[in-house]
Amino acid sequence: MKRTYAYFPGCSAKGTCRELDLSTHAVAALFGIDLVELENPGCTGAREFRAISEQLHLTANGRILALAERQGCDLVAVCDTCLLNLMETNQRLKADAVARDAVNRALAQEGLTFEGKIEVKHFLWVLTEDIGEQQLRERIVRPLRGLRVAPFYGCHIQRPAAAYAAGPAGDTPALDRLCRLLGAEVVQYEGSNKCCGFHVVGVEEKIALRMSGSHLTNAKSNGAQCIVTPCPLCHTVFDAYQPSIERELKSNYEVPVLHVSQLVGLALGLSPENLALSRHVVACEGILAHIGDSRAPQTAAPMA
Amino acid sequence: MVDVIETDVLVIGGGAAGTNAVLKAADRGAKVTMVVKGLIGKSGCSIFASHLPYHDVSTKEKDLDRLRYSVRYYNHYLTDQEYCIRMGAYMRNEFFGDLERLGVYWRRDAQGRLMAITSRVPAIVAHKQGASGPIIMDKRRREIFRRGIPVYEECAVTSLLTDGERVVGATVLDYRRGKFFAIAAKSTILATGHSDYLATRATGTREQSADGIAMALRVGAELANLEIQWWHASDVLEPKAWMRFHLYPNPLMGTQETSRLYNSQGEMFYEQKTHSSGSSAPYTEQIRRLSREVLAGKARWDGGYYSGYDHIPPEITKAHQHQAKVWSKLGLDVGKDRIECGITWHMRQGGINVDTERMETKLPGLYVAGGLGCHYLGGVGPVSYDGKVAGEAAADAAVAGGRKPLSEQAVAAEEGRVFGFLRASGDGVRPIQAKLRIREIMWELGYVKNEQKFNAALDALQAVRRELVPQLSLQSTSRSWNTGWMDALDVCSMLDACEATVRSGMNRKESRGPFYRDDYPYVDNENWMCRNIVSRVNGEWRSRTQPIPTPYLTPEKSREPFFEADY
Amino acid sequence: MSPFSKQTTEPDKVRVRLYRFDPAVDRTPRYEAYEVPHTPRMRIMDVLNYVHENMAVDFGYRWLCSAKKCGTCAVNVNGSPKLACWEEAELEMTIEPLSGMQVIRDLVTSRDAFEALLATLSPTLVRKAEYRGFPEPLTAIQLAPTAHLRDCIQCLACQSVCPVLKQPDSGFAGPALLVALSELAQDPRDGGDRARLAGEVAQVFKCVSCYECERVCPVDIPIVGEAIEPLKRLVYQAGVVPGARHARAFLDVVKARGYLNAAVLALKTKGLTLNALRLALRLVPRGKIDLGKAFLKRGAPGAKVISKTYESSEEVK
Repeated sequence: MKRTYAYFPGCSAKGTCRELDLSTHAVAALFGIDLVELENPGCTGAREFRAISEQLHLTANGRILALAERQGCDLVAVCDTCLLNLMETNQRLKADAVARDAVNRALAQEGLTFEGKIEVKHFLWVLTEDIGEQQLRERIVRPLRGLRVAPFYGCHIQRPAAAYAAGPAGDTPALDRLCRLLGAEVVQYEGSNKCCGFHVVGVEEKIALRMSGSHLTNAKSNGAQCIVTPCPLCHTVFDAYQPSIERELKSNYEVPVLHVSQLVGLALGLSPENLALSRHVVACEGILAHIGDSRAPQTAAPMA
Repeated sequence: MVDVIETDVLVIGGGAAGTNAVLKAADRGAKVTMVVKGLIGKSGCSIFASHLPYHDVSTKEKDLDRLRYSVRYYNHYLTDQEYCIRMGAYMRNEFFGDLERLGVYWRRDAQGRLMAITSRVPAIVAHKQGASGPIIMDKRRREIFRRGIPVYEECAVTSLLTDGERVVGATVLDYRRGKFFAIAAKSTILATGHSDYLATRATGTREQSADGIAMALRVGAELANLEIQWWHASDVLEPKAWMRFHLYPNPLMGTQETSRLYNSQGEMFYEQKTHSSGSSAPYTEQIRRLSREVLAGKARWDGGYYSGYDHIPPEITKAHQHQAKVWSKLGLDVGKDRIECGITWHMRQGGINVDTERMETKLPGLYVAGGLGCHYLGGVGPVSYDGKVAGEAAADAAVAGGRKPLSEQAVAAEEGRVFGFLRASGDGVRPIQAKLRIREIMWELGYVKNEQKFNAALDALQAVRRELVPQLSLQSTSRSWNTGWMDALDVCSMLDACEATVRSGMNRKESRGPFYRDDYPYVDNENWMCRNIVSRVNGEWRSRTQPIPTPYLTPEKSREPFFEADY
Repeated sequence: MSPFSKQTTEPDKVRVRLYRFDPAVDRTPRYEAYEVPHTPRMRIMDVLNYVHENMAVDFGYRWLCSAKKCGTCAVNVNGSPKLACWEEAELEMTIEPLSGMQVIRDLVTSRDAFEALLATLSPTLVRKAEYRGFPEPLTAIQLAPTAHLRDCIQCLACQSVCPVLKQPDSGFAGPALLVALSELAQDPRDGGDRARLAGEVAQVFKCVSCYECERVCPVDIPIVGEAIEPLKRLVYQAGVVPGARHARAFLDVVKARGYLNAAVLALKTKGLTLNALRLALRLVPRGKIDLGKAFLKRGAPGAKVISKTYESSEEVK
């Protein structure tokens, strides 16, 4: 069965985390999923639009939702913060006619309308809910052989509770279950559902470095060989900033950080190149060796 | 000698009375120091304020109408009527505006009209019914901190100090740090409240052990009408921790509807609009009716009867009633389910004998504000008025007068008493056991009283004093937040206050308002519409009565059966 | 027979591990274990009271009202802050003081730092001209934004879980203080310099938006959306602190290009610092920063349209 989703990659997946975009497409392709990228979608505003004007926040996100509605399918995001912005806006505009009218007035100049016809999902939920455990399990060609993975959820895929009252994200261990299904061992550690600090990087980097540093410390001391996260912002702090964290906390981690799509892709036999693992700051060779792909990158797994 | 802090005005107590006393005394230019056993605006009963009477006093006629509720239903003709007139004007003209200037917002509707409870006693709320108190007290708390007024929180005043004639200060135990010190004050205002935790089920908060009553008694102050003790009939039974959750019997905002009480057979036996429509203070009638159910075996004092709002559309209850959350937290539906109730020892009409013109006691230098006085039942508005009067009078007197030195001997003796409890041993009686026993004695004395029960209670209290107190010992000698040590000091206060209450009750040979003795089951206005006073001088209990003038309102009957009176 | 009779399957006991620590004498905390009979609808407070009253243990714990009004009984239960009077007792509980606070004894923590900071935030209404009468003309609509904020009982559960407050010298005031400040800032009567207080004293832009505070709030205040973000918007309007400049730069980049470019944003916000150079050296070779895209390419083709749509909403409050 072919599935089609409107796809909003967000700035990270198109910029600092291109590997997220590439690996998401690669995994989706294995299941015949079409992720149709929105054209000129703009930005969900991260936490910044909300700090400027509530209407700007609603309009920017309403615009993305309206574009997806025009494609006539549910919208998939791959970033926790984008996900929350889109989910909250979708819920608000569906329920609040005054807010909806205000957004539609702003969108009218582009000929767009928010009607409230679609749902917003994270790609993680597409994997765990829409594709489902059964299909995923059937496609595993390279089980992760007890790879000790520390899941890091990120805040905005689980909080605030009001946004996730009805969704699968209320079920925090979804990522834990996925990791186990792929053959990995889940490392329990203090911090897996806490905050990486990304949203103060631009204001006071040190706070973010210390916050994520403590999670790294806990994950590593509990034996994690890697961290896996559904959020490219968390990924950026843990991976791109890891040397900065090491300098700040005077410690040494070298803990690779994977996007969910990369971890899944590895188990499903995709090659490190297909998953763009070389784009990380912290090298992933240790993981590849563990799962028996030290010969990579020469041998790419077959695509479906 | 221990550290001595010098001040003009010492205010003891951090509720609505104490906070207003502090602010108004400071406004007068006095140096004010505040000591609070709990935390300002968090301890005491002021945070329980629900909806506040907002009367029209624009004409004499309307004012008298208001007065009737205060005098007849709230105070059973035991209040000072001239005081009520002055306090009413303050409530209408100053109280609400004063609080709005600090940031309280009395709820309006979308058009800007005050959202009033439209029973015969109109009332307004600062938030929801049942949730005004925390907001009011939070603003007062912030204002006191903002002004930088010296505050000693989590410090218990252990005794008042006199020079044989005047009250000149107090001794204090900072129980966080285990530090004992004294305060020398030109004027001292006692504002420790009227709702003490003196019975097994009570609405008094943790720290309320009647310290104000006990300390005043020990320095020879007169106590009046202590026996006029209110009980709540509609407080949550289970969980026990929720016995202070009061299921308000008053009308819901925007409706004429009130909660109902049902006996164990599901028969409704109390609803305000049916059974005490003339009164905005239904508690006396509520418990009178409950007592009949208990006698008939259809309810117990602790359970077997129920309160509910299930006859009212749940949207209204949820929108206006803080209590609706009690239902949902217990997994119940406020539109369908009822909650089992028990009675609780609530507030006391009586207290320290005080002259309401300046809120002065008969002891020079000692002022009283709020429910601790014998002049009025209480309420956040009235006690704020007391705070203002006492604060201003105490400040004026302090600015004019000099400070008397403290007696080193008296301070040292009190220090010895307080630290005498700080001894540990493996056996002995833990103070909490004595505390629980005292509460049990007062619970057994209960609502239906008589000579025999008074004597039994007195004997039992004497037994605690004689047999348990000398054996008190603690589990640890920690000086920091030692719960056992705090309990030991509370036990002393509770014993004195309870004994005074029982003696005062024995003296009153009638029933009135919330006070019921089945050996005198009638209201006797001819002999007992007075201040029924006890005091203890050199270890001897004394009693007398003092007439209460009735310049505006007098009861129709000089004597009537208790169950026929409507007040 | 009443339909409200007791449940038939009551558990018979609660096992509790109690944190004990007296800083005056103990070098390290210890735990004491107790078994308490379970009672119907039992709260955490009932368990604490039982240990104190029936087992005569003199441990330090603070509570005043036991009715969800004073906010003084919050403790950590199995690692998460709970209002002891309000929350149901669990059958196995480790009860500890709120984390991140100075312990006075056992479960009692100091509220002093919170109160001291609150006092510096002009914590009551500041008015240019006081309204002397009552009632002042005000409507429910004007006060609606502060309705949930007035529910705060300052139990400090939110402060205890805030990850920014856990960082030494963060300078951040924390969620409970921001709720107090925001209530005043959004009050139509208030004329205080709330933007400065929020931006510089409370440092609202150091909030990481993690929603941990909301997760533990016993009175369900939407702290981020209804207290913190309105303050951020106020500070943004005044435009004085780095957080506000960062938000402005973020919007500018998105409007100019039609999407966000992290490298351009960082350069605009922080300038070319040594740390930024280090980061660039790390990221450029990995393809994480595309210098060409960042500094040579123009924006997306739809940038102008996006920018126009956004602009129509920016000024709307």
